[in-house]
Amino acid sequence: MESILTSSFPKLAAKARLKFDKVREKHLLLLPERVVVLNETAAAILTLCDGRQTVPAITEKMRASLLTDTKAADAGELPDLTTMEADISKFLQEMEDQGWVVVQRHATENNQTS
Amino acid sequence: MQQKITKRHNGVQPPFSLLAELTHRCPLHCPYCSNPLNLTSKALELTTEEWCRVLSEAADLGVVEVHFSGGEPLLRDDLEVLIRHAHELEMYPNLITSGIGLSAEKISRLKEAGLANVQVSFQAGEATLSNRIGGYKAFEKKREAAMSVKKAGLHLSLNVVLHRMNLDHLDEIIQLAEELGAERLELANTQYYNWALLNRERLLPSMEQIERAREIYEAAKARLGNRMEIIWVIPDYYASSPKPCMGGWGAIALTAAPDGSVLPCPTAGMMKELSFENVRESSLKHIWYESKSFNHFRGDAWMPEPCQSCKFRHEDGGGCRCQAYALTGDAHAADPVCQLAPDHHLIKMAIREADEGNTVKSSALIYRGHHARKTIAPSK
Repeated sequence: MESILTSSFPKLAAKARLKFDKVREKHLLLLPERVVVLNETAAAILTLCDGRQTVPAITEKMRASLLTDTKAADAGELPDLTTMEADISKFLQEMEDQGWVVVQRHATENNQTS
Repeated sequence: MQQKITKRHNGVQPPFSLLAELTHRCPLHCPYCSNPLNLTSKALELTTEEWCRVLSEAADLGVVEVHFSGGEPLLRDDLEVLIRHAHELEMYPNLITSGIGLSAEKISRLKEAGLANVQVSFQAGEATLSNRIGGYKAFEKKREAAMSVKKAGLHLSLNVVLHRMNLDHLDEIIQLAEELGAERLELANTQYYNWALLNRERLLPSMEQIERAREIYEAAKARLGNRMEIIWVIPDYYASSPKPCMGGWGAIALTAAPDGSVLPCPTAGMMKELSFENVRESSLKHIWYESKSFNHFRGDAWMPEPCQSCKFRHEDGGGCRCQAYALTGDAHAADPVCQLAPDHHLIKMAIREADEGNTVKSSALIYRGHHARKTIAPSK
């Protein structure tokens, strides 16, 4: 399962839309007849699911942004890259099972819409 | 922020969704239509500018999903404008349609405007029965519309209202949804308000029919896994406890009717004892937080016994207010569907008649119509 994800390009499903809701101050995943309230991390990962980057690439970006946000003293407490990638893979697998993320074998071309 | 909202509005949270009933006009005449018996005429419908204002106010209020419905929303020539406006406001536009008028060209324009999801109604899994129930030769047009939705790369839901006349053909309905490549199939057992209540004798299925259909639904759900999401909306006459009305009266959703009245649910307009405010006179925000109608059934202070002291009162909220009103004439009564309700005998009587099937032969089906109610003789 994990190997499929590593070499593939996760993309938010066409029916799903991400939104930061200013009224509730929450990240939301909008779906047919359903609204899912996301935490910061889930929203950040899903934002990176544009069909153009692999899970390792998404993990690197997540780690980089965590490092920027975290004080230097706390940086040592961040999980290592392998653990992070495993966690993100697991999360994306759940998202795929729900049908909210599509896992593509090839990257989305730049000229492709949706 | 969550706390701030709570404090400012006395515990009332912002709504998540708006049902925008753009028009009551519809090419179909389904005898279970949830629109009111007195349909709003075209002349009284909100204008494009008014609808745009309603959408803007909804977005400010916290609405994130807009369901464009009717009647048939495609009969409004400003549908594309309204979808675009909702999309620009970062709301999720969903179209609920009969499919009539949804050409390949139309769907690609609506998609370009920002449409996210399409729900196409079907009355049955094949043409003869589907057309008979809808009172219109719609089946082939619906199929074409559904195929256009798929071709445009949009998420397709099939909505089918279930009742005595089509429950025994559920397998055909599921097969149709599979053939069309629907991602979601909503099997909604008829809820008896307005036109459906008028036709209850012809529409209410027997317990046996429900049980057979439920087995077919469960088998299909297991077989299809996550290839197609299947939703089974329970037939509440046959449920042991009442349904919580819309997740609670004025709790998560609101409806704007074609003439601009704002309702906590699509059928609440039937209640004569409440008056509902209109977007032509009040802001959506005022209506949601301050209006008498929206506050009337919030919380549990309004509840009569046996609800007031019932341990399930926070789960079902006393059941459906429209059903209480429609069956007992008192919107404050316990929903008669509840086994503990003083008026539960009304439900038991209807079920007994449905099981015996006697009334079916004598009552004519009353089709939903604009000016005159069309009736046909019952078929054998």
